[in-house]
Amino acid sequence: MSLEAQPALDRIRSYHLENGDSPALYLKPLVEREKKPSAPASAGATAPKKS
Amino acid sequence: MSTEELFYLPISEVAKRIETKKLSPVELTQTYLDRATKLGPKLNAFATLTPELALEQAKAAEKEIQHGHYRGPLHGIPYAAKDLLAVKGVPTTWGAKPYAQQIFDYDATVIEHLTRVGAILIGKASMIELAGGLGYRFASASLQGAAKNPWDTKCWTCGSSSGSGAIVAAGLAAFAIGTETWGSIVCPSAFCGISGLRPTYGRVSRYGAMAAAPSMDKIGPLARSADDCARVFSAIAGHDFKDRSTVPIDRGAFTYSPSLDLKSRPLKLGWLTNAWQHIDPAVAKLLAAAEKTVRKFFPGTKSAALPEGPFEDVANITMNVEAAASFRELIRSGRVSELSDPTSQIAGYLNEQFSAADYLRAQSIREILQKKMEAIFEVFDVLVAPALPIVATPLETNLESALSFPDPLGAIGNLCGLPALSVPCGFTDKNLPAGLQFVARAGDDYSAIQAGRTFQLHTDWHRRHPKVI
Repeated sequence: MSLEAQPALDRIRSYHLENGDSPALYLKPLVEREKKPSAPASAGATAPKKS
Repeated sequence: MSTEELFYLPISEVAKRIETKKLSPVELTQTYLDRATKLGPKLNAFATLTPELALEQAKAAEKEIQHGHYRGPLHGIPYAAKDLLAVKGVPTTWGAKPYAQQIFDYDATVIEHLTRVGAILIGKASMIELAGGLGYRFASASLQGAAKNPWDTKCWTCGSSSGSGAIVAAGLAAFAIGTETWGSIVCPSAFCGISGLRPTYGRVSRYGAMAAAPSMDKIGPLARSADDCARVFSAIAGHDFKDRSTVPIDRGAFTYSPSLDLKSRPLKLGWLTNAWQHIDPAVAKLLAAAEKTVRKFFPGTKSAALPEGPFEDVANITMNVEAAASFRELIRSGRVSELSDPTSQIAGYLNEQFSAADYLRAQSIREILQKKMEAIFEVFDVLVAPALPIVATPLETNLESALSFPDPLGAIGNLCGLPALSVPCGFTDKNLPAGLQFVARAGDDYSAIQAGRTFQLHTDWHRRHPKVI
């Protein structure tokens, strides 16, 4: 199992990272998604729901 | 209408009969319980049936409805919950021998939500032990045994929501709740010819649910259609102060009305060309027809490609490290040896050896991946791909060889918390279903549902059901 895990670790270790690529909260893009249109609240609305 | 047909009616139809008092929730529940008692053991579908609780809830629902207090489309509707969701006073085994006697004294938030809208819990669905958190190689890695596929009982339903898939496909409940860390809603939906929604990460509270890999675990419905999934999702979605990973209160709730115009916002679809390296020829034939349907009803559908990188490696290390933490007590106590699958017995010890540095590096790559996917969703609203490149596998299959093919979409979707809806898209010559998945950006569960509903408006695969004897 260790032998199987090693290639995956090698790929992760060799992936190029920039200084700003440190991990944020897991789903940061979700809570930052302000620019998308918001959803309709009821039937007959003209745009689909977003949340 | 025969009783058999009643078991396969969409929630909307059953709800209409209940609301107009043409169908008694008590009679419906008893009929489902009888069927579940008779057929459940043949499929290893349930961990526990809850007849007393179910009839108590059904009587209360009936009384309320008789007095004009109709709570909505799930009022009086029988369902099953994966056996990793806490239900007060009922065994919650997590599918694993070390937890066979485990009983919680509270309800999971999902159960609370469903109780509040008047749904009837008829039982706990069987599952792969620990939801596969410590790995497994065989369908039989479950306290309840291998869940058998109602389309062919020599085949598996796929895991880890294996019982949930069997229950919905066999008409043993109107819907079931499952969970997905990587593939456990999409896969059973595809293998069982049903519809399943993996919601956006954080959209459904996991309070009272077993944790496998907390940054990837999600709870969602398996049901007869995209419409049914949306109805259940609207009942269980929402911020929960007891689960700090849920999205903020203004983005958690999901308001659904089936009368929303499907064409109100034309969706931009991307047909993924690199979701699977190899597709079984029998499935490929069905997908070619499904692609035609998609392109016909979503004009302007373009080809799309997933970003390339070590994303499956990232998903694997994330899952493995977090699961080792989740089950630390089980591993350290040595009771992990009681698990049924030899892989599960030892994987935890290996997974504890990953370094924090490697785990954090994986999370950095995850951050990059999320940005890459954001860019793709600037172009497309929904990505479409086969749910799986194969149909249901025989029960005795070694999953390490038969189900170990690359799954970049599963890895990416679950690392980024993207919602996905799997719907049936055809049947092979051996009468086994194949699935199609619609994946949307995080938070935009509606678009995945909208795409699935549109597909099901023009196809009838979701209306087919197996002959279960």
